[in-house]
Amino acid sequence: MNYKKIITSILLVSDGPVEHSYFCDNFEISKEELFVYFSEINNNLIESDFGFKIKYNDKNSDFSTIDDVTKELIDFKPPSILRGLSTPALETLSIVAYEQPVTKLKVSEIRGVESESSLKTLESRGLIEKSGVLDVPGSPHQYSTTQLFLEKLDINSISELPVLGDYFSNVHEEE
Amino acid sequence: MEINFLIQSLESLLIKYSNNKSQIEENLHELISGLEQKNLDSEIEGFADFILLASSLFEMKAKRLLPQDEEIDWIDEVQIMKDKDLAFARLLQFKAFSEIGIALASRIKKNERFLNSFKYYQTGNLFPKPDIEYSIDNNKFFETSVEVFRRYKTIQGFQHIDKDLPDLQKAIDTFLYEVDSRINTSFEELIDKLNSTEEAVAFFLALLEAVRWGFIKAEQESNSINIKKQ
Repeated sequence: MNYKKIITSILLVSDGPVEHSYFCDNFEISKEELFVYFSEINNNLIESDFGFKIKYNDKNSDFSTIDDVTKELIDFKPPSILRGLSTPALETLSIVAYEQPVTKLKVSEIRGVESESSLKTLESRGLIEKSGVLDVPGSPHQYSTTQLFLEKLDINSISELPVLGDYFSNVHEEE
Repeated sequence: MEINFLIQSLESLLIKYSNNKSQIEENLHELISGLEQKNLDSEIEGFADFILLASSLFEMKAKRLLPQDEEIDWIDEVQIMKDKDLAFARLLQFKAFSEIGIALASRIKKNERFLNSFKYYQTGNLFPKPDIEYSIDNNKFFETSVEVFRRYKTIQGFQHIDKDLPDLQKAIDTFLYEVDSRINTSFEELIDKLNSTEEAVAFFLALLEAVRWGFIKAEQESNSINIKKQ
């Protein structure tokens, strides 16, 4: 079986990055073998001067453009997801990322100011989403980061965010 | 917001020794003169956090000026120390999250140099999900539509729904016939003989269509629209 053909065609038509388990389970190849195929395909693409490669990590893989053509792609790039985001919005994003799932009230407490508009902006950008409600009177919404946020940071899960230390998370419990 | 200025100001407030009214006033004047040099109007949200923290510190300092009992109330002392610790922890937390936000933005910007092959789902969650979701099947849809059609007749503003829609092609033909018969005319003249607002609307749409197709040329001068055949 020509795994290179299969891998590249699946990555071409897939609706998002493909998890390694899909290839391993359906085509009975190990993760190590899969990485060898990825590497071989990327070498072939580089040798043939193609402008894209397979970008892969421990969890999934997808086609991505290469660094050399970044300038030439400027007309094709979608607007940056950060366009127009203010410093308070970035501050709110970091709080949601590290404290999730978190309510609007808790975000506002940490920042010391009302944070509804920042949360709405981040939600409209697809960086955070309502992930549930807290089981307290009023049932406030809880916010978490989205898959898009993880992809933009090129990480697989929030556990891969840099560790802040327990100190910051415990400030409000001490109150 | 100049974060370093704020951090330094708060740190100096925590460290500076002030055990009388004049020293506290001096600290306060120093802080206010520093703030006056900053652009408070555009960064009011960020400065609000800072002012809250600074005022808490001044409150703690002011409390120290109140007559103290000879015997030290260690419970109060411990509380003050805890307040100081909390204020400092909040300050650190504020600084940490601000800097992390900038670091996250920097990393996102770096990753945006590479484009993944376009996938539909990447735009799928750009729109916020509604707070209320209501599922509907064929029967519910039928019941809802029956209810809507039953009720609309009782609501003011929906009476025109039962009327026949004007035939736009017929209106264009009539419109062009009228223009032909007069060669050069005005829109006011053309709608002068009409009997209803629906006909006027149809005529106006016909005018727009006739202009779009190049049959006539329409120019607006002050309050009237002059029409010329092309």
